[in-house]
Amino acid sequence: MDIISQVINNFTSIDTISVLLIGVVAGLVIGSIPGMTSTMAIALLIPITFNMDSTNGLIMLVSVYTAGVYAGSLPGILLNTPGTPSSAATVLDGYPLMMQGEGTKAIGIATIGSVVGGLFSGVVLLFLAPILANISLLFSAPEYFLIAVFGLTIIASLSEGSVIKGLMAGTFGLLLGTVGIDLMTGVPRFTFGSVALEGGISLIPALIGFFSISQVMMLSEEKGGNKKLSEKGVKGNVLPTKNEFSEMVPSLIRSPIIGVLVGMLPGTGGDIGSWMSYNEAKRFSKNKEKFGKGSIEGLTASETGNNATTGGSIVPMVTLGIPGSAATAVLLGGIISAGLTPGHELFTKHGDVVYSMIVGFFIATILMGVIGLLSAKHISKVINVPTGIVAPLIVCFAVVGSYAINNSISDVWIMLVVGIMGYFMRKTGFPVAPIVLGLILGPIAEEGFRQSLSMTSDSIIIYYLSRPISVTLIILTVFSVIVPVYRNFKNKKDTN
Amino acid sequence: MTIKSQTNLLVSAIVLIISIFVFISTFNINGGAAYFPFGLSILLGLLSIILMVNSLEFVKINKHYLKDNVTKRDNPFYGPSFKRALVAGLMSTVYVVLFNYVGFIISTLLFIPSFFLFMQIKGYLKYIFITLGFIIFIYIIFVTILRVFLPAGIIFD
Repeated sequence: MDIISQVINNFTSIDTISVLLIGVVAGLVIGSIPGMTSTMAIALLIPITFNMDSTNGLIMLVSVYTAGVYAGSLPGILLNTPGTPSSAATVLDGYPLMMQGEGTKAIGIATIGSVVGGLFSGVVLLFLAPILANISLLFSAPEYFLIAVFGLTIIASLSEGSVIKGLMAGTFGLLLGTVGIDLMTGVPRFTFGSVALEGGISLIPALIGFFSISQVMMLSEEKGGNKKLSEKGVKGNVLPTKNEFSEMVPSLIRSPIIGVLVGMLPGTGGDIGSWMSYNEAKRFSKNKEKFGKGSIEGLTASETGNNATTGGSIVPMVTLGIPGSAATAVLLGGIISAGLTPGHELFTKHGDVVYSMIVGFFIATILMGVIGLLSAKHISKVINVPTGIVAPLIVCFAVVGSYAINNSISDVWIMLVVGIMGYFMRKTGFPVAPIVLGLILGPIAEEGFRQSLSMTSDSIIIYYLSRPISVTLIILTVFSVIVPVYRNFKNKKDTN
Repeated sequence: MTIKSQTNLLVSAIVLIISIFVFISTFNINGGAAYFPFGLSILLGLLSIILMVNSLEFVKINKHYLKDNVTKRDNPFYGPSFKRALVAGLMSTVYVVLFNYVGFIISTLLFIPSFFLFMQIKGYLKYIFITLGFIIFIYIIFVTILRVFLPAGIIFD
């Protein structure tokens, strides 16, 4: 009861409410700029927290985190340029919805999904943190490899028509993920003597390039840049109708669970959470053909999944001192610099701080939802801006955003080269999404597999089969491949 | 659909060449680091051959239809629209070069109005206000608030 009254006391303070608001606004602004991630936002604001009370400092940082992850969906929906890697899957259906004149609705759906995902992960964080932390310790290299393989099985279904092209794109993405110095042996791979490539193909510049530069080139094809982005205009309400909401429900139930489970695994993050949620939504959907063309289910799944990883990734951070994602790694720095030590003692000796942080997370999630819903109609008016004005601004954002990651012009060049390549791919009917998936999951799959090899002197197959979680993941993966093939075969048979 | 098969032939040939290059390169990579790219190069090569075979079959079957009905205009890489896209890509490339050498402010001052001209945007006041507004916005957000420094270029350095 004492902790509860302390937490309530904290939130009656003007300072606490102010930092919460600042955190949400900062997260929304920074997260919506392509190239600027919530990780960077947290890193940039940590120094400000040094002069604050530790509770307020943490509340501000988690507010930035959750709002930043959500805000990445806004440029993704409006400009086909994900603001953060965790919003790459959102682009697939958010942008087509915007082009159909449903931009306001798309933002509304993304906002609702993000709030539901965030709140669910907050509840899990509040009540199940210690239990989930112990489960996350059971995941090791073999499980990471199988999770990546499971995620990669969706590549064929992201192929929009030609499965071969989708598989080629996915394989190419996996190959791109091998560029750079191999972390296990220190051997350079496909660097061609370039220092810039030794760090590999950075994910964020690649994402920005694939989506935004290719989009600018597509927009430039038409003469007369005074035409609007879409002639459909801005129509409809921000809130979904009853039918649309019923389409969202399966994703609103499934995706938070996936997001939390993915988020709590160290080394994963919102990008994997959103892709896996999107994957599963498509797998179970009765309207698979709508995915990639403005599917409400797909958009909901992606945004719910990515925000659900926020609370999930905080679980191992506060209970074990192991960050669940890059953002929580930086957040951990904030906790340590506030003089706190993660672990069981954090909940007992500094319970008021931790629980205030969790309550702050809840309130920030709701606040970002309110701001998102209220501003959706105004933000979606971007569709009325002429393409000729939008195009160069996207390029400038892409260049500045790519540069800002590491203050390196190499990242900008990678972004540009990948972007031009993305344009040619789109013109020849090769989907971009599988490349992105390959780039994200490839390194995880390779590292997981090679570490598994070094973990056992026995047969690798026997080793995998001796681990219950691995067996579960193998069964899931096999089903995910066999079931669509069987369904396809059955449909063809019924047609004949 | 028909012209795509011809484009697919070209693309599959290019991808096959890339996969052969990667395959050969893996022999220069020591130890376990070579396994993954080795396997992927074989997979990519096989997939490109499948695409090539499918496209060749289609072109062979539809040879006469293609000859009579498909023109240059059906080629996605033909015509003014493709050229415009290339120009946009080239302008973006020049912007990146200038961004590094003359800095963010000057390169952006040159790039945005040039692109507006290329896209035939009307109203020269827009050129001034949007360009200056964007530069000020980025400067305030990135440099002043977030302390992320942008290249000053050789002039202001």
